[in-house]
Amino acid sequence: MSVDTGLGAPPATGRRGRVLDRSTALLALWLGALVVGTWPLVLAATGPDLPLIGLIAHVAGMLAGYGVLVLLVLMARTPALERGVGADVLARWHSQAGRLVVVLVLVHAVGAIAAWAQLTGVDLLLGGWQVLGMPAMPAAAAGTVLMLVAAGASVRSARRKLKHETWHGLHLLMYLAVALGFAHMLAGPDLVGHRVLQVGWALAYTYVFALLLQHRVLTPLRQAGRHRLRVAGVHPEGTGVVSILVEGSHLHELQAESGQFFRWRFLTPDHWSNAHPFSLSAAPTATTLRLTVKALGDGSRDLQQLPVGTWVIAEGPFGAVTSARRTRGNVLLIAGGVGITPLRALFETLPLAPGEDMLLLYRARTAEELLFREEIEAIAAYRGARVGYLLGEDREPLSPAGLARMVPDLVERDVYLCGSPGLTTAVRQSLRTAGLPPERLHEERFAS
Amino acid sequence: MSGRHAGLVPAGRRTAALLSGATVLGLWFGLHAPDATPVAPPAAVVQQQTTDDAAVPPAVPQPVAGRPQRGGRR
Repeated sequence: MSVDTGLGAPPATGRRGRVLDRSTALLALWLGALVVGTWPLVLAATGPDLPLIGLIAHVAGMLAGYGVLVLLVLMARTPALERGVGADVLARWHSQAGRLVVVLVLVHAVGAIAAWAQLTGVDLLLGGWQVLGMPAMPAAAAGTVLMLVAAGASVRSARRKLKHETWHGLHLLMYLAVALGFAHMLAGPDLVGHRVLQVGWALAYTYVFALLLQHRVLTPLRQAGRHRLRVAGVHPEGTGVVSILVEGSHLHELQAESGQFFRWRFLTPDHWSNAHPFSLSAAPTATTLRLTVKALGDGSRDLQQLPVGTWVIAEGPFGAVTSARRTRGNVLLIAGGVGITPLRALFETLPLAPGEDMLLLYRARTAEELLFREEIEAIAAYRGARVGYLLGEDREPLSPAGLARMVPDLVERDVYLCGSPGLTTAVRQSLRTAGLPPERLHEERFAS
Repeated sequence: MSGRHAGLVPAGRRTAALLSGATVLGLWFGLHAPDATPVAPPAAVVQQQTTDDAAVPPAVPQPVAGRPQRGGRR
């Protein structure tokens, strides 16, 4: 898949409305955590004595409840966050925050039972049993179990063994887990007795679910009705790589740009439940969108045999690594493997004034693995741009010295980068060492 | 794109409806939330603690000579 990082660069402009940049989003999230985590301490300072373990359970519980909200917001596909922060950064935050929330939930559960046992003078086992018998607690306990199952399936070693569809199905259990735990949150000692807080907490959850409903369900459905996308053709581009041409109507209304990606939901029995993120591999037109898919797993392998005429729901466009990020006249594009897809589209459409230079460096193991070679060379000839192929395993051309030799004015250019994690890490380091200012690196990553 | 062109509910109206629904639900959940937490220590324990506390008389500071006390203790 390919998604944007928007490494330290300003958000894209255009169709866009308001965006929330990374530092503002982080500040808001941490401030929220500070307020929510402090509230139990305020109550403890002004209320009856509470054992330390109970206080820890309260703080962990409040933070876990807030963390769940954050997890949902990060994955709500809110345009302001998708465009301002970037989908891959949001996914990374979601993953990190998810681990923290699971730990907080466990600390909360164990701490609450221990505090109860201490207050009532029973052992932990009996204390746990008594807590489980309280109103709203069986549902919360069931929600916790579901959350642990979904979290366990997301552990890297487990996820490698699971089919993507299985993992996705298990991950959806989180919604049920949240719903099951909701009642016990409102009945918790930190909110009970403060009606305003109970209403505020409930509103926060219903608003976040409304956000999810809007951007993950209603907007895609509306777009599906409006654009009526269907697969018009599946064309082999290389070994295990196909381009899928999607036709529809009123596509100019999407205002999609080269460098962006959609989440594609192909309405076949195997794929309808999953939205796959793939970049546009050609400039979008009023009637067509093209994506290119490499067989990297079960899902993307099956897409190679997608029947023509298949209905498609496309969410997007997402991604801010577009021509709007450009700040300099000369441009360098560096692609690795199937990471060529968004850069192929940018190579076709990045504005190029007389006297400006655009160079595409395309890394592949062999000449046979090069994708779109004819198209790229035709674009280069038509636009007066240049292409360089870096074939083989030799990493020297991507070293600081190698890049400086090929591109003497490297630090004066905007650089667009997309490739495997290994390649992008190496090139990013080389570019920094060579002296490229971070704000001029516009990065596109794809995960295998 | 607009919902009017698509023959659907306009986006603004749909957002307003969604927001209204979320507000009503949130208010309903919040206003119907319990008044008392089920995880408060049981009354017997609280009572026992109170009794235990009462067994040890609290230390009462002696009034300073010449300074009037408030309330019915005068």
